[in-house]
Amino acid sequence: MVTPDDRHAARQRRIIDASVHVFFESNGDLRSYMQEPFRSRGIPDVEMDWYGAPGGEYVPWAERPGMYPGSDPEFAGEQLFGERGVDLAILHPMTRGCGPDRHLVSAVLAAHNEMLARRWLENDRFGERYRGTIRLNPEDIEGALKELERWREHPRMVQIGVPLQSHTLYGKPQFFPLWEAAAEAGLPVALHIETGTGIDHAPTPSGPPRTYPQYLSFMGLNYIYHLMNLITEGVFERLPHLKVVFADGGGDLLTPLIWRMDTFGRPHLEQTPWAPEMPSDYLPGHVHFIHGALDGPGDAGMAAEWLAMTGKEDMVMFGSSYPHWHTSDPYTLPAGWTAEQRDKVLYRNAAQLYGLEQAVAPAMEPAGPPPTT
Amino acid sequence: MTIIETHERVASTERVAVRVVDSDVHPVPRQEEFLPYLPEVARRKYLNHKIGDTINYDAPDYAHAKAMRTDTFPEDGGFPGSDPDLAFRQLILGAGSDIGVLEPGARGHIIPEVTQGLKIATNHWLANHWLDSTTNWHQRWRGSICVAVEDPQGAAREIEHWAGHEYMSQVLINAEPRPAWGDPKYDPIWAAAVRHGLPVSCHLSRGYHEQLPMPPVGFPSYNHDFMVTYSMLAANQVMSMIFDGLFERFPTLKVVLVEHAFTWILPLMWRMDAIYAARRGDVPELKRKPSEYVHDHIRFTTQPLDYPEDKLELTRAMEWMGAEKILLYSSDYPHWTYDDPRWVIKHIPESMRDAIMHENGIETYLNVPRTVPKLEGQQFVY
Repeated sequence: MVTPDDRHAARQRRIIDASVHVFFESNGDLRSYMQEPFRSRGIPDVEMDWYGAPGGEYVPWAERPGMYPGSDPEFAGEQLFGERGVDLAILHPMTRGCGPDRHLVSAVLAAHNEMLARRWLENDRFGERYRGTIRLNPEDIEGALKELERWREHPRMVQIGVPLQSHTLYGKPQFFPLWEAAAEAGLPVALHIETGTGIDHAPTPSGPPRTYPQYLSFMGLNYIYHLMNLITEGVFERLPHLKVVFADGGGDLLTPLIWRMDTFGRPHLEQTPWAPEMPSDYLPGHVHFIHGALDGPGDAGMAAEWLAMTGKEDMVMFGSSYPHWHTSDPYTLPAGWTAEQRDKVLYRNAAQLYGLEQAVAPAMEPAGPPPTT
Repeated sequence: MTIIETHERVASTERVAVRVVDSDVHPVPRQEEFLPYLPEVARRKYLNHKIGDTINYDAPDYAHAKAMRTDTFPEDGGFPGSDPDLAFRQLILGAGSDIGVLEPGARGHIIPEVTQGLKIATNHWLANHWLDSTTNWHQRWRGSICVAVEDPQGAAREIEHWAGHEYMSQVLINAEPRPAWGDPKYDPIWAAAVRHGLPVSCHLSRGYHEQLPMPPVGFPSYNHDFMVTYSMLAANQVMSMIFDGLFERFPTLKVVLVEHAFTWILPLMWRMDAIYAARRGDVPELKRKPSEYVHDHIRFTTQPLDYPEDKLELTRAMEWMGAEKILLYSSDYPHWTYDDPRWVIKHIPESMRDAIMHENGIETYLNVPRTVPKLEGQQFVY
């Protein structure tokens, strides 16, 4: 139960919301940012068919008649910085699925980048508080590198975004030039579940789930395949400055699976001399997680001890996923965390990762009563 | 290691308490023993061409060790696990397991009835070559009714056929067939199992093509990212069984996840409980929190025992997950990843030892007694 006192106390802290989802206003709005021959192509809507959330994707309080949630920088800014007391928000455009035509997907992503920069990062009122994610298409390395060149010097673009979905794990060599460019540009790479409808494989290793809870529970955990493959393929060994953000939560699973990777993987290191260290040695400085509404043991007394295990307290960053239905609240993080852990998760880890230590704008006065979450 | 080379094949009348129930021992048929049991449908499809080694994702030193403990190759040139007497001497007498639950890993086929045929042959072979009164004179082996889950009706028939065998202790299925276990198509299997009080164990079987877990985002490159992420297959089976309401349909069903590792169930229980709290309306047939279904219906085996550098972290995780309720000791003999019971107990908090090393096994499996005939020279584990 969050009381007004809790909110007041939390407001004394600095807060970075490291995962805010941004959308176009409409399909027409998206097309207005595109050129031919792509503008008149068939493009999936942002909503998903089979795996959409029953009852709707977004929290009701982020909706307003005539406005797609997460499409209005002023309205979102009032909610994030005013009502929720966030200082800075990392914006991550949600796009239109991992389609089969890499040229079309890259064009859709380029439109999102353009919209993000013009509409949000250069917004007069809130632009100073917004930071952006450059959406790139790993299925089109040449196009992705060009698009990166276009945006990498933008002062408010702070990371690269790629889909969690893929046909091939991200440790494989065809993706290496993109990670190399990201590391060289000093931009972390965030993996996030792509919205819209793509040509993805079934979301679980046993095929399509029958319930939304099973989809929800498994889908985000697909990061584990990418993480283990990035380790075994030596990507972190070769790129000491590459930073990866797993932006769909599920960081709790890191602890048991990296224990397993160290124990089982150790005798296999002779097979992968390009990744000679113990797998867990590649985590610090390389791997980050968004902490979401479904993560953690809740208010259990051992929450602090758990967060410290395998170094998660230095990897996890608060991210709300606003305006999605599971938008999490910076004031309901586990009560058992230490003050230092809370500061790391709410602010310090993200500030360090994105180089935002000097960037925090003064807190705004609340615009109205806090939204009910 | 003390290995008794000769012994009388007569069970002692003196009985000793069962202290170690090993939930995962792998017997392997010799071809000449196995083939006579093969049903015609399997014979026609399975024996129509030569099949060589199909290894993908190889363990270290595979060409030499074949992913086996190198001291388990019988002297006659057979494969590890093909000599019941050697297994008895190494595992029961030498390592001190009191009961070994045998889990044969039969090769699968694309056609479900053919795989079922291979399972049928496996069951006859196991009953006649390991569980027979001559081989199992010491009463230490327990068997698995192997079934092809992708053929639910055939699987149910096979369970009916073997239920009541004095040494068959469980049903055994492979972990890989799709869809996941919550799908109602498998209900005949669960119904047959609970009718006879048999737990259903789910063991990873690797395989190839369709019989591999298909990671949604691409295949791993090496045996270590492959085997570590294999746990995600089991994690998804847990999510499916729970959110699809399997344990509401079969309130007495027990499922054992063998060799899928287990520490991941701790954060997965939190995750499922959080999802249930947020999305209860999506799964109205559920009556309880997901973690409660886990505690009441799902068991995990200790092998592979993965541990952090700071062993106390494992202890804490075991306390938090309630490991004394959900863990069964297992060795994986004769595979290279074998966990010896004398080593495993060092990692188990003392208060949980009896539960994990034998009590949970006795409670979970059918036909596992509290006492067994005493064996001269058997290792005492603890």
